[in-house]
Amino acid sequence: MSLLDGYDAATYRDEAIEDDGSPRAHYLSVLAALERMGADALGRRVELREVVQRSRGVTFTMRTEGAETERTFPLDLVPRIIPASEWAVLEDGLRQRVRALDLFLEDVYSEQAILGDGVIPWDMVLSSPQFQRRAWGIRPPGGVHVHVAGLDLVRGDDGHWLVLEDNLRVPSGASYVIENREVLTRVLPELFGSSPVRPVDHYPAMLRSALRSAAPPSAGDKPEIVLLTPGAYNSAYFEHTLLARHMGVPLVEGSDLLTDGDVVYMRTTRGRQRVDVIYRRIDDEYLDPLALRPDSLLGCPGLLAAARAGTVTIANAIGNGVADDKAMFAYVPAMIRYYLNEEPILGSVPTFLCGDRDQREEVLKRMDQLVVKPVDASGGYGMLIGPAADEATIELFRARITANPRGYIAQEVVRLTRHPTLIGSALAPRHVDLRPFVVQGGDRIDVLPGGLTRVALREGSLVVNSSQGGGSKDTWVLRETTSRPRVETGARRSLVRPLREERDDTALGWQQPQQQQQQQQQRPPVRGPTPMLSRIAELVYWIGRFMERAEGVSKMVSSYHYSATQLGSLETRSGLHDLIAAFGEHEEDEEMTFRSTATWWVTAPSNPTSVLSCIRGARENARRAREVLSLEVWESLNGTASALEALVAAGASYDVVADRVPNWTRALFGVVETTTPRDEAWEVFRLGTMLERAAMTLRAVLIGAESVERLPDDDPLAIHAWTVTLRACSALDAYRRTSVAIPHGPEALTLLLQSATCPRSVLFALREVQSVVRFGSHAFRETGRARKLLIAPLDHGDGKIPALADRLLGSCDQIHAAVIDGWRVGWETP
Amino acid sequence: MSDYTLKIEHRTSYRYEHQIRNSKNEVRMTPTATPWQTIPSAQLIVDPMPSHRGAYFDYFGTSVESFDVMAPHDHLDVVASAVVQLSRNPSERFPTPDVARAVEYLPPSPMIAWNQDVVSLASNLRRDSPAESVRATIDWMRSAMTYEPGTTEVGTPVVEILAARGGVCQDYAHLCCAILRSLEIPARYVSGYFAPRPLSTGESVEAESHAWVEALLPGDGWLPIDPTNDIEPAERHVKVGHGRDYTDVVPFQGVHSGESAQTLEVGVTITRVS
Repeated sequence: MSLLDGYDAATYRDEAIEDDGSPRAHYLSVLAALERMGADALGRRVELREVVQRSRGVTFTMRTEGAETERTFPLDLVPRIIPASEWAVLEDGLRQRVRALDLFLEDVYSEQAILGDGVIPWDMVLSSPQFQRRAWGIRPPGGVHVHVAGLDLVRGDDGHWLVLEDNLRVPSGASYVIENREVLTRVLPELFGSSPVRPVDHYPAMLRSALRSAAPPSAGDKPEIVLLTPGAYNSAYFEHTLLARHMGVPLVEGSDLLTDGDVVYMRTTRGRQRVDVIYRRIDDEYLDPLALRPDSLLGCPGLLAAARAGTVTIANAIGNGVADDKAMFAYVPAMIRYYLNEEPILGSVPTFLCGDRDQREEVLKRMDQLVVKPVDASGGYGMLIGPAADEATIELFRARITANPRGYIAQEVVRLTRHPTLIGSALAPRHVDLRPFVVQGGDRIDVLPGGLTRVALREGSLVVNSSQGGGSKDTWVLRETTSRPRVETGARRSLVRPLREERDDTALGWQQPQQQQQQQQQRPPVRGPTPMLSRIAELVYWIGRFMERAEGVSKMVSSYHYSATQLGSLETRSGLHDLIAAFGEHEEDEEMTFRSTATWWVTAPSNPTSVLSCIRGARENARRAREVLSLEVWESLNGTASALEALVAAGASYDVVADRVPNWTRALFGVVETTTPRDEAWEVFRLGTMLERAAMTLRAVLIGAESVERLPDDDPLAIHAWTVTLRACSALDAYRRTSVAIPHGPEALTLLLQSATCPRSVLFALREVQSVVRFGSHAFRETGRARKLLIAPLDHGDGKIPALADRLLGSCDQIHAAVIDGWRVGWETP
Repeated sequence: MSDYTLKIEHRTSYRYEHQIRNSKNEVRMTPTATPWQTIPSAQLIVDPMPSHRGAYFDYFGTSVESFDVMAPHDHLDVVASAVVQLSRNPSERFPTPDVARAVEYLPPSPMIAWNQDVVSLASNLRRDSPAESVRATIDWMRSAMTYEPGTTEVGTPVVEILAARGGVCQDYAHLCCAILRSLEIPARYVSGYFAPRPLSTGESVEAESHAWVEALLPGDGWLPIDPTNDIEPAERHVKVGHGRDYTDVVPFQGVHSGESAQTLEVGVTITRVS
């Protein structure tokens, strides 16, 4: 049985299948490979895809009825294929269009020649809500306004590509292009191989290179680039983290930035650091509360003044919306003719301006045949698809258009092409579009091969937006095979490449031979490490503390649980002493048994420092600091958090959870150890874990020492208490290996407090802390003072040990405060 | 009136209960040169000493001065002073070359949106020529509106001003623009200073920031009209700048770090120099 049985390729033009049901030439090998696998194997790959996508955290935020949900972006397993010759034309057309739009923006914010010459009516610009008068007088370095463009293209029955929309403000989706390729390669490697596909993973390098070349002259040859995000709750946050990480640039929020004297800086752990290029993913109006919306908390006051002074590049430039306004769309062919003196290479979907009386009348007459869109909305929100709408909806839109004609346009319905898509266990035709990405720097325009193919997964639907239940496809642009014969003669190159210290991003997969000039071959300048953003440092520091605390609390609860079990006091109040001493009482616990208290400390979501809350906190912080964490750390932490949630949801008791968690956290620490470069992020993480560990060990010591007060060292109860304490600190085994087998107070204390070799000891932890805080800093001196308390032999006199532990706990608090303060100095003055 | 020179002093004083820092400000207080108004000198004095200053002309041609005070401070005193030579003869007209661009001042803008009430009112004020419609609009405003400080605030919408039949100069200007625009007469909002009475040489008077309107009349250019006072803007009006509405010519805009209660005192003195 074929996957294509009963496939309808005739009703609409199909991208992959001819009218007669035979595959188009460039789809032959992929369709054959899918057939060979068969429906069952494909079904298993669908499951694999779910696992891969979820573990990579490929999500977007979806708005439905006011609520927001995090969704994985469904990737269809059948790739969309574009032959090389077809792509070449598209690419030329895209370049041409973006060049013209860019020239329009430069013109409309300075000379306004196209308006003065009457090519575009004045009121098209002057009545556009997207015309940013506050951006007047800002001349973006290199004259570049459109650094990144995402154009929406469709194809109709005749197979011609048509532009549907230009997105020149903060177009999103490029990260899904990269992710789709990555995921498809993992899930269906069989499809590749036979077709030479052009790579897409160089997009971040391409973007970074463009941003660098669009930096202001003052930046010199090492511009500091940042990606400005609205934050972790933005629907495209995943993309922001991916691009920042792949470009190797800080992901900043508005509060990380400040301006002083028309220069932009970011707040780092080493004071302020100058910023030259801001790749911003927040909308114009939120950029600068001084010049634009005063209630914006997302931006940074003074950004526009800095842009006006020419000390910083804001990419994309401010005010681009005036060019991608859906009404201005109708004038883009005129722009191409006016600025470039060329005929448009790409057609565009016929568009009616409701602001024009004649065109409006036509629209109102043909509402049931047209698509009506608000001029300045995106994401498929608030539009009318005439042929699919009921009479009431049409009337609603008729009223809206009449009330605000300039606010709406209408477009002919394009009979969007369809594409084989895996639905259930067979291939079914679904409508697709294409969003290619165009990147422009100071000296060149590049087009990412392919782009994001979006597919309307619902049968018959023409709406492909991810926010409206669409999915996507990996998009393949085939390499020109004839012009690049494989070299088979002579010695074959070694498959093992020499190791390289640094990736040369300009040499990665660029496919524009006609533009490949000598100066493009330079290696990017090597930069010194940029200090961390202070906000990120705090997030990472707390990931370390949260993870260590989750482990520490689990170990303590397990150990006291063991003790309480032996003493038969699980369900009584008498077994509570140790737990309460360690963590303090809490009001919500009415039972006040060991079990209820331990549950509160392990699985209670309402306890902000329960094991569950710590792991949740670590994951949430990691989500907001993803660009400094390795992918492995994120996947592992994400996996741990999911596993813990599942365990708790299944009703596991506190002792089961406390038993399991340390295994996970230790694995996580291992992943951190083995995948994290020894940079500042690692140091900060280490600082958090070690300070937390010192504090946890000190708490256990305090409890142990108080519970054995006045007992002789060889009293069975004292031996029991020290065994429990050592186990609570994960140090029982270390003790047995270094000391006499039976836990003995003074020796246990020496190990827990003063050992230079046991990684659980307070001295060890403090030494690690001192090695990662800045030499000579306040935190460094505080740590030194704490270490001094541990140099002399321990005084086991009456109450001396608890007093020492108490004092050291105070030191830990002071070190913590000094560390946080140390990350907050030097922001407002150099 | 060939020799009529005024000195304007516009004082703004903020007092903060707690220290604030990182203060960034933009002021539109310096009069703009126009065909009938030249500015021989202008200066802005700021205390404490700003850590940075800048100046530029914005989209509407208004002179903007910016300054930052980064260090902690508990007060901010800004004195904008300018010498202005006025040469306008009230009957003189200055045809404008930018008639095509005047479409800027026809549609609703952030603070000027109107409803059916404004449209019906406007249609009653429509006369045979734009100039007469403007006259009718001013007359209506003078007779129907009451100048009432304290009944409106900076953000009061036009339709509420109309319903209340009252407000201050800013409200008069906004409502006047809304009426004229709905009659398809381009109308822009003007920010400036107004002397409450005619001055003799050497005389000083406590004055106010003021707002009025310029309407574009075919062939005559932008005609200044003052719906609040019904005095043709001439030697008692000094123009700072214009825009679609108040939001385009806000005299003082600022942000700072640090929470603090604050008090504000503003004063304008106009002196006739010659």
